[in-house]
Amino acid sequence: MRFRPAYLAAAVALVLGAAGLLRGATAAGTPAGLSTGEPVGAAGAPTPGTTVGDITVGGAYVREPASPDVVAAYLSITNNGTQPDTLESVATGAAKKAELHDVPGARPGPATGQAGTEHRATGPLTIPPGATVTLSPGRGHIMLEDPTGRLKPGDRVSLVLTFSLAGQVLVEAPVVAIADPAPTGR
Amino acid sequence: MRRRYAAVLCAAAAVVAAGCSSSPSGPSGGGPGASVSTPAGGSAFRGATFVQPHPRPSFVLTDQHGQRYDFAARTKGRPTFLFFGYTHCPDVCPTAMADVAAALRGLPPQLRDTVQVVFVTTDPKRDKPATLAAWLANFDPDLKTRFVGLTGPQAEIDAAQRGAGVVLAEDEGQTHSAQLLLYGPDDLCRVFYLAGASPDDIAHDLPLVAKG
Repeated sequence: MRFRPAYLAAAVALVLGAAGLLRGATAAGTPAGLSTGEPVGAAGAPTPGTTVGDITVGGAYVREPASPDVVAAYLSITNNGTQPDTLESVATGAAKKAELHDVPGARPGPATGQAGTEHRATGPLTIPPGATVTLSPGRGHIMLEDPTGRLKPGDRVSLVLTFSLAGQVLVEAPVVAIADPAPTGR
Repeated sequence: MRRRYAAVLCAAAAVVAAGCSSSPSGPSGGGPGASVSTPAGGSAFRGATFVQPHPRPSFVLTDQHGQRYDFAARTKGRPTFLFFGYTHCPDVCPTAMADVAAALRGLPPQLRDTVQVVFVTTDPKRDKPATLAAWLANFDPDLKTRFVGLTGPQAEIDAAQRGAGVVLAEDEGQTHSAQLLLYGPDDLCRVFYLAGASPDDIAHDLPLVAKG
């Protein structure tokens, strides 16, 4: 009998929600015995991508916050399939809430959308077939609100991304020091 | 060339898309600072450029040590970065400060130490001098010329933004200009950076700007 990765990711998400942040002791990868997809080694990227179904999430990192309560995560999402897929939500053990913010061209969030402004929480983000959407400073981020602890360089933050078709994708994002360049270049 | 063109295309949106807020607000107010373009013949700069250089503005606010700070008098004749933002910004503001610091670290000390970096809060209700001091210390602890953080009454911060020609911040300062302005020794701003610019771009342009 085989478990689908999505179900395993959901279980991991629950565990992470209870355990909170994964601290520096965790090497790249996932807790022992759990698989969240096939690691895909992107050339030059320090964090390998994670693929579930047709979705690959890579280049994830969290910037060490200059204000402890304001944390942003960045990553790239590639849709390798032939149908659009939609990022419905993000969960993390490192904060009470995680949501997409400021993604250019994305639909505004349901409660906060205002014509002409894209600096609000962003609604579900659709990734067209064959496309890669990259969140980077000034081009969208995942806002971690009410972090459960002070994030420091070397920490690793778990993020569970839920897609309409691919299901749940678990990625680990290293915390990058304020003065260090982004692992993805931006 | 491609990068610069893209930066300018982004400018109209990016100047108002730098914040991060979940509070509702009215529509964007526009304001001054919309005359953003690049010279047709291209420029030596990697940053985006103004067709009409903007003069260094004059304003007096309170710095992170609680002291009066006369921007024009203190920075006159020196290469100066000016940025409007707020310390609870997760994204563009800390990135801009970290990028400037990274660019400065790669420059020779005789140039680096002359460069002034001034951060003006758009959220004076929360950003008091002590808040600014703690926040800026994340970026410049190893630099001889420390960054300056300014706060003050909202009306005076608004006046400073108008003087600099940036879009006036809204929503408790959370929707604000994303332009990192760079003034030269001639007290003119010809070049600015948006979030897509890299420390390398800034380090490339600084010696050109410093030459005047």
